[in-house]
Amino acid sequence: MSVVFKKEVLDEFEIIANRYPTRRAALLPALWLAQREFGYLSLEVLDYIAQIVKISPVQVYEVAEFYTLFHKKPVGKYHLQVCRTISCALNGALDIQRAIEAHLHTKPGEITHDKLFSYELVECLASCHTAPCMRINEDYYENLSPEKVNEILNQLVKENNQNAI
Amino acid sequence: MTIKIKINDQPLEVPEGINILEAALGNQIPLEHFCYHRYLPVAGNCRTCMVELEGPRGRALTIACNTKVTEGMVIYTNSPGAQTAQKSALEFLLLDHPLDCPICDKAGECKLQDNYMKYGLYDSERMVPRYFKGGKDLSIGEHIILDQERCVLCTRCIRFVDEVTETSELGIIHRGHESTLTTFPGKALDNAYSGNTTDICPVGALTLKEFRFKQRVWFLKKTESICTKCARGCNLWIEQNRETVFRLMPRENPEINRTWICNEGRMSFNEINDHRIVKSQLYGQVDDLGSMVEKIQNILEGVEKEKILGIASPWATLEDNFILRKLFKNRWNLDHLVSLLPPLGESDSILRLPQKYPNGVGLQVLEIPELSKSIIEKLNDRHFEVLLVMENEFWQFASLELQQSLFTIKHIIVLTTHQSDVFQKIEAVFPVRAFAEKYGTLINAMGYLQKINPAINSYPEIVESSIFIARLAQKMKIPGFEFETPVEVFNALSQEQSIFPKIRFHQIPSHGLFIPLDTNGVAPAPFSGHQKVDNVFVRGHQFK
Repeated sequence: MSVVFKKEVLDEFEIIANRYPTRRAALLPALWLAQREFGYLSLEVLDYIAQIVKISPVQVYEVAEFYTLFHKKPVGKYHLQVCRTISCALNGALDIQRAIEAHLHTKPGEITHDKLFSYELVECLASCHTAPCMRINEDYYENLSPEKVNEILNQLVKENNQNAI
Repeated sequence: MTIKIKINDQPLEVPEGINILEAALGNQIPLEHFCYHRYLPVAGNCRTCMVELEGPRGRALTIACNTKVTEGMVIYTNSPGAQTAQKSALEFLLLDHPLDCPICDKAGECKLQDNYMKYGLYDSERMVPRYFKGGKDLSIGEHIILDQERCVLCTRCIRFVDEVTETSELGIIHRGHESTLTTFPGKALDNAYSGNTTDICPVGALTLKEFRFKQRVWFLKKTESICTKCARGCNLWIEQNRETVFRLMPRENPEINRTWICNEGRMSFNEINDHRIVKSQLYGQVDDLGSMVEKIQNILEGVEKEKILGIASPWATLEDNFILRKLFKNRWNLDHLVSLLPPLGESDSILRLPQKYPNGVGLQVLEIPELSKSIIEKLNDRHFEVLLVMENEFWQFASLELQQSLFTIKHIIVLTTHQSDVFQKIEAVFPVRAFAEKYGTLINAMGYLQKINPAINSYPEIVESSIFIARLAQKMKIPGFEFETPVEVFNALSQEQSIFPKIRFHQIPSHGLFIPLDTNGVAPAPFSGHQKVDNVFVRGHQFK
């Protein structure tokens, strides 16, 4: 299957690209769009982005590999990013990690078998006043405790099952 | 415009607009550097060319490659501050570098080795375990092997593929100590100039498959020469050991090829070693040279003035063509000396020109025309009895029709360097020296007179075409052919041809002598997309 943007997404990209004096400047937004559309940035996606941004594939590869926020591997429907930087660490981020690992049976950087959850450790999420915290997709979950984490994860599973029906 | 600066308390006058590194190197002041390359944009990422500048607030450290000299600048390259900075930067570069020099092809010409011995000589103070990254022998192209562990991330190769070839196949992925040089997975580094990345690599990260594990570089002897694969005439080093050429390396010439050569030229070293002929052949069978020369002499002495056709060569040197022309002028009809040129080949806007021979302009200078209609008519009328071909393997490119009419000539005499199947149809084939074995001069498409020098002497018994013809002429008792070496031929030639300044062979500079000629509008090498380099070529410092 060849990787191609849908017509609307391509139009969206062109509007973004026209904001910049050079086309290659639109590389980061293009990668965001690709991640939104395809879930993660596979090599085919990077090659396709190189074509539409009109730069060499390896230059796209360099940028995508540089930023940890771009996923180079498939992620779950719910992608957990758990802060491990100092404020969260002091407020028990390690317990949060253990709770997630026990609940999901995954290690950081892995994805669950049902492809529902993936989990990784990240540096500061800029929410130190509500430490410990984590991000699931675009949403912040703050002032966490192991019990709260279990509750959130159960809630998400339930939500997913409801959507499936 | 020159300006006055001081380096290490030594007053100097240097051209305006150059950087401190060039100013130092050009004045024989050693300064450590990795990532700086004279013909690539400045990246300034290795930080080893640190110098101290005298300023209003005392001395300050800066990198020499990215700082232009200004009037009255006071620079220190060997002060304790500068030396510490250089040494520390080197220590970082060497931190995760593998110690596999004994099996590394770059060993002996490696900047990391050289600089460590010159500026480093410290004991390792590493306390954390070594970080191992990447693959050791990744084939990333037809000619290139990448060793990611050896890479010091100078980005010279990346800048080369971005700025010179504009193909951008290489990049650095990941961050910090994990940074790794790579191509896009599944895509190869396969442009027509990819071999240059192995030259500019300061370490053994990029190596050439054709040279890998073939020879230690300290055994190689270098000879200045010229590439013969196209009319650009790129400057080369022929590097040989025990009469075998192991590689051709570009030699810096800012006007012609900078420090680049194309892969086609680089790989032509095999031709010097392989499929050579060393014995004279009679209809494809090896025969005694003396008796064959006698036979040929009889044929040439017996032939009517109008019935001999000569084919000169754009691959032969000026001297060879000059002697052949002289023989035709003195003895036979000069109108019957022509050249045969191969069809135009691949070209691009960097170095490669479509004329795949080195001395086409030389033929123009000697006024040897291309094969004309009238000659072809005469050929078809079976007018000629003798065909004398010098270093022109027309059987490889001429049309079958033309070949057929040429091969119907009764006596065919060929002087050539390489074996071929067609020798069975040829009465006499004499071996002559190839370009790596002789002195000679060539004129490139831009009008530079350049000389080639003998790098190897594998076959001392055979001589150059010019000397072979001169000796034949002497035997035939034709005056004016008392030459023993091509150098003598050149000296006679430069006196005779009004277009040359009256110089002698050894006076031709190694970077060529520009002769104002009408060279059919071939412009200087454009180096497209490349920033213009002004005043950077400081004489006396060859950049590597």
